[in-house]
Amino acid sequence: MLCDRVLRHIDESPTDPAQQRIGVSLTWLECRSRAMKKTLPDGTILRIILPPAVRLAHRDVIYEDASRLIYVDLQPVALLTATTPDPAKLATVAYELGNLHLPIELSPAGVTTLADGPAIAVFRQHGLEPQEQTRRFNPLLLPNGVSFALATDFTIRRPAAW
Amino acid sequence: MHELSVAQSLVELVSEQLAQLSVEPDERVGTIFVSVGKLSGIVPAALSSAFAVAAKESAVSGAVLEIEEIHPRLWCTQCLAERDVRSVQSICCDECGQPGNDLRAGRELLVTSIEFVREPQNAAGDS
Repeated sequence: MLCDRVLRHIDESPTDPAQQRIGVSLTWLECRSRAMKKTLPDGTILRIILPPAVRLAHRDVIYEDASRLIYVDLQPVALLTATTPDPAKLATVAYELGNLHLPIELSPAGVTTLADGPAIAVFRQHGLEPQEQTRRFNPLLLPNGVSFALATDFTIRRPAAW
Repeated sequence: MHELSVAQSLVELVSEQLAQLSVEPDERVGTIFVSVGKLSGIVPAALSSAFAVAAKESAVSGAVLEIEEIHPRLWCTQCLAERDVRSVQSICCDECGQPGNDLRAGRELLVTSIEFVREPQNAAGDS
């Protein structure tokens, strides 16, 4: 079975009782991959090959027919979160975690990263005591939200009619 | 290598602009002109190749990306003027060497222009 696109996103409650919902268990790292192979509980081989720049998220539907619906079940992972009212310190912590090649999620709750020893050391080095939690983690891929914008003098040039 | 997602954002932005235009059947986007600051973290060659991938089967398929690199400039607190930065590794005034953090240019990621081209249609029954 080949899944080559994200069809839609589903909420928690099934709407069609005749349709079996099958969750494909993926880690946060697998959600960043474009190609992978998984085996469903019934032994069916699932091949996921996504277009460039498409990322999977929890409860993305990757296959659907009348009898079954296959969705992404993002696995929870152990995380560390810490915050401080000092934005410069928070930025420094995020920068140093980035230097460790750790994925980072920035939110109003502070900086969140994967729980491991070096990450704890970075937090404590800056006087922060991280809170441990286990939950789904899917940090943004775009660094700094880099994207294009239109220039203020943006123009559209069209050729004269034939 | 985040250029692919940046190229994707470029394709989406231009496609949104095209959706607001009435494009003739014999018109297509020939060239997209962009300005990329040297401090934007984007490698132009990587952006070009990523754009070719991102543009496939989109409204800008077949378009060429023209990239203008923007050299960083800062406000020099010693010269009291806007100056070129010495290099992307040394954010200092090129004239006096004063370090600065008031960047006036160099982080741009801007679409400056879209140029359409006309292509003759192969009408059915043409001989």
